[in-house]
Amino acid sequence: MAKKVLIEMFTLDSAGCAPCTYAKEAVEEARDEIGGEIEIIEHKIKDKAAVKLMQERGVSKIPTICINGDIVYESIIPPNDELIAEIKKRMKDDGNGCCCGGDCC
Amino acid sequence: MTNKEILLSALRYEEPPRVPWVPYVGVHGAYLIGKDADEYLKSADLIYQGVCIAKEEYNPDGLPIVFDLQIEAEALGCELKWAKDNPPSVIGHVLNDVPLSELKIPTEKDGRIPVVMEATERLVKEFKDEIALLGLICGPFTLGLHLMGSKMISKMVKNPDEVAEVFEFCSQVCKAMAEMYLKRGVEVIAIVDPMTSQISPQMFDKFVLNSYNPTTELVRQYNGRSLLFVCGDATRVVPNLCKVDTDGFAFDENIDMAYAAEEARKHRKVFCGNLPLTVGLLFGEVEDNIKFAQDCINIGRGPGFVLAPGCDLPYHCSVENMKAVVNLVHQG
Repeated sequence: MAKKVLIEMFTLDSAGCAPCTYAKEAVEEARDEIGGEIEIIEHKIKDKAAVKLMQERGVSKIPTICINGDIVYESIIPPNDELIAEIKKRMKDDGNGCCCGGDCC
Repeated sequence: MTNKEILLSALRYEEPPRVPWVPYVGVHGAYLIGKDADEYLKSADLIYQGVCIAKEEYNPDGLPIVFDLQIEAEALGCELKWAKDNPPSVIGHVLNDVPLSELKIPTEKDGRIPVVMEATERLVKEFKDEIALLGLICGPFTLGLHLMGSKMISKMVKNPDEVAEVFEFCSQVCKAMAEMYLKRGVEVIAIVDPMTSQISPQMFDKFVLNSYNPTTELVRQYNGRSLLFVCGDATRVVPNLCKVDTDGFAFDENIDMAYAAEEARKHRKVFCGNLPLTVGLLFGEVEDNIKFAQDCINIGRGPGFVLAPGCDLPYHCSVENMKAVVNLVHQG
């Protein structure tokens, strides 16, 4: 069973910063291609709360793409197939029949 | 020396009597005159007013006329999404619908280019020798992404010839835009190519490095000066930036100023930066911003240094913080 994936993006603001715009577009295209349960959240550091979260999470560059909490791409827009592979890796079961990472069932 | 002479001196890789200061007022100009960004960027009159107020408020040595990297893409047929407190963003990539062979180099009549050129003419006449005006053009890499969308990144590996063809076209668009500014008396052309922070040094050299040459050669014919603006963490391509045929480059707080200064000075390149935009100018306290600016000045002081924000000032940027930097620059 595929696991839900959370993609968090730390941006200046994808509406006004070209690298952030295209990082977000790349993530959305990968999501649309894969299908399944992939949630994308954008943390814009034009909001104070996002600056605080960025510091807490150890993110120092924008745009940064985190998948299920892992910092995967910092200030680089990955090619589509590479990004899809990183997302799919995190959608897979852990191999022992447990769909939650191993703690709950 | 006038403010303009101070900036032009630094752009000739000299050390002027004080540190030159160029606040990148883009949509912040709309904020200064109480207008929304979308209305501002469609009106020569409002752009003129915004730049005039920015000159009064921030006592700069140079100012951009417009900071909007979507002007060329819009003129070429890309669909934009407008915002009240940001420049627009591209949401429809023209090469998804139209082949490259059908695109024409934009002219002074296309899209919002007439608006920008009208503002340029009025501002050049108004400021003449007081401050330098910067004509900002969208760089070939960023324009290529506007035209093709993010799939261009994958195609750089899978279909490099197609991407090279798009770059060649974008490079000619840059040159055409630069000429529109230069022939109206603008002396500094900034090629703004923020996407260059998102690729490897090898890709930079293969696709980007020479794409600026038609524009830089033209700028020299007009006896102008040229800069390359990047943003984001372009640390890995700083040595490449030093090889670009512009007079120098501008960068944001994602790049360590000491490192950039050292590399730039090895190649006698101008370097501009890098006041932090969000933690400093937008959200920081006055004292923070004085310290950020003083740190930049301490590292950068010398030939070829220009104090500037990391990138386009946020719409709501604190005027109080900006004025603290202005005081530091002019009073020491």
